[in-house]
Amino acid sequence: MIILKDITKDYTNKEQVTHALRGINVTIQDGEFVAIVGTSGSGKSTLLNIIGAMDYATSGKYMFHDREITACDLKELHEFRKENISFVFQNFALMDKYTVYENVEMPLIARHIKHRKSIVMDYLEKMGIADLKNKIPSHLSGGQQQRCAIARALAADTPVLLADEPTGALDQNTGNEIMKCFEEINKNGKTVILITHDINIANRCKRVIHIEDGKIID
Amino acid sequence: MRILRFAFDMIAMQFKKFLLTVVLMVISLLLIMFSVMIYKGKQYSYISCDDILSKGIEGTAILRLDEDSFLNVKGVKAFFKEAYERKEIYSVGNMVEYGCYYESLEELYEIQKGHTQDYELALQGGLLEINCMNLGAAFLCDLKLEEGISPKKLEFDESEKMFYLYIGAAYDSVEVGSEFIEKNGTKFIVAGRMEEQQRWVDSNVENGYNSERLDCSVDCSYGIFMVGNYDVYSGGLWISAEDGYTIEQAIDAAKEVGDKYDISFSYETLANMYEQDEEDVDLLLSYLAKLLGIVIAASLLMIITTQIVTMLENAKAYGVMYVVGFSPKEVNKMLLWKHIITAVSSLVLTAPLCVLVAKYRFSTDDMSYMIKTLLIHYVFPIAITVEIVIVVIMQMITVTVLRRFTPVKLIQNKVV
Ligand SMILES: Nc1ncnc2c1ncn2[C@@H]1O[C@H](COP(=O)(O)OP(=O)(O)OP(=O)(O)O)[C@@H](O)[C@H]1O
Ligand SMILES: [Mg+2]
Repeated sequence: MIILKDITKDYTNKEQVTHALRGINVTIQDGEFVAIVGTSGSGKSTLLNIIGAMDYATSGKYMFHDREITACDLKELHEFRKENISFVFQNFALMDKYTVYENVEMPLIARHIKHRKSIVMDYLEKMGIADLKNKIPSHLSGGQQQRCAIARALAADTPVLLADEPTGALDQNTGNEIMKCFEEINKNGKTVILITHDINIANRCKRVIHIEDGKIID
Repeated sequence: MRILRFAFDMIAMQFKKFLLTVVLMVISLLLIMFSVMIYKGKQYSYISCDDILSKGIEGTAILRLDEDSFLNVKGVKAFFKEAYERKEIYSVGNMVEYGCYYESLEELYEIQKGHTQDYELALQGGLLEINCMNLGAAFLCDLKLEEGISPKKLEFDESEKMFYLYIGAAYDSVEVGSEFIEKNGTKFIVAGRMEEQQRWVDSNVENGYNSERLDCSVDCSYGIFMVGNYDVYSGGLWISAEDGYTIEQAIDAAKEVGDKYDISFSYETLANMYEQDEEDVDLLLSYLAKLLGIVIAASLLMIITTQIVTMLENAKAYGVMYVVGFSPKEVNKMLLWKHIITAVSSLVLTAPLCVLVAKYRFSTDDMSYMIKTLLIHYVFPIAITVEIVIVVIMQMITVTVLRRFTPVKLIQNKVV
């Protein structure tokens, strides 16, 4: 269970302060399938980063089950992430010097999992990029990179999957395939939270959170 | 193992910066090694010389005969004989390494073949290398005998055709007491066999003490000393003072005797030679120290900035590592490997360079001695310590910088 209480996030850039989040209160149960929607710059990515413990909140309290994430030190944050979170970044965040295969393999290496090959190939096939496994990300199209990033997130096999516009670079058909995949892992009990601009995608999620100007609106 | 691979990959990604760091480290290391080498080499050299001489550096001097005296064969002989009897003088004599051919000494030649200290003479081939000396020179260093009689008890006739041999431990098949007689009547008597560890002062020291000669002693296992009633072969005579007398007093006594036989000479004490050499070395060291200060400060600064720049440029990669589940500990370990690889590469490059420099700096017949003593004991440990310090500094800096950023910042590369 994810509980956010009065979460705020300010970005300070040379005197200028951006209030990206202005008091977010939300509870997300385990196994929910949530879409976060809102206009560009409304704070969606910022919120997802905080849920994924990729960034610090400026104030407020973030509880994950019994754990107070906002009170964790760096080491505990990393542990929390490793155990619980997989993340699809808006800009994919793939390692440019490694092949698609190696990128997807990385979370498995980090978790000391043996016999990685079949697992990696499985996710590559699910994402329809098995034939690209030996290419490096910069030689792929945006959609292919996105699918690689999703395959990497899925491979980590964590209870929570966070995806920042996972279908943003995909055509409708491929987008649908990806959504099917998300629905399937959600059925297996995992919490899925994704950001989208696409109303069709949002409608396929069981819950939709609207964000406007750093606040949740109902 | 995976972590190690990542470390290699990180290096490969920024190979030019890696090379720059290695080169900077090599330069600093080489300078440090060179300074240590010179500093320590000086001490080694001094000790080796001081230890081998019966009366040490303080008690020993070199006399240089004037040309007329050099030719005054009879006078020199008489001078040797009488000077040696003086109470102020412990030993005085002439000593010269010499390649000679004596038919009767074939047996010794067969043993010595290929083992001569002096490379050039060995090359000429067919010659037996002998250290010819007057009786007085036989006490310049401690002659320790396995068997045989001490040079003190030797008896000489005036015929000039009898020589006593002291042979090295390698000639164990030659019996002490054996006599070898040449067709012309020259007789060699084996008076004793030296102990296995016997060493003797390098006769080159006669031409001036110099700390570039790392080891002033030479191994005598294959050596042959021929003690006889010689006149002089070279202008340099060794003299050492009896206990209770200074070397100056000994020289004064020698002068008195010299006056009597019309023998004149100039002199130089080993201590003087040493001081002269020390001044040169200290001057060199002081230059080196200044250079070192500048070079080390500059390269350390460059190494640090290069590390930070490399790290910032790789920020995304570190961020991704965090995000996919690597712990800070593992990322730090990877960084550490990266730094260790850098340090080891520079050491591996520097070590042979250092041996080359050492070879150039020090004239020694025995490289392995130098490597074993000077390099392994002092230069390399210091170099390794320096490397460890650099690795620790690099590690501390990168880890501290890395810790300041959240994964999001690293991934978005918003770190600069
Ligand atoms: N690192 C940053 N430094 C300064 N301001 C930032 C930073 N990241 C985001 N912001 C600002 O915070 C606000 C929220 O940004 P965020 O990225 O969360 O928006 P978003 O809803 O994800 O938008 P989009 O749909 O375009 O991705 C924006 O005004 C943005 O300019
Ligand atoms: Mg966004």
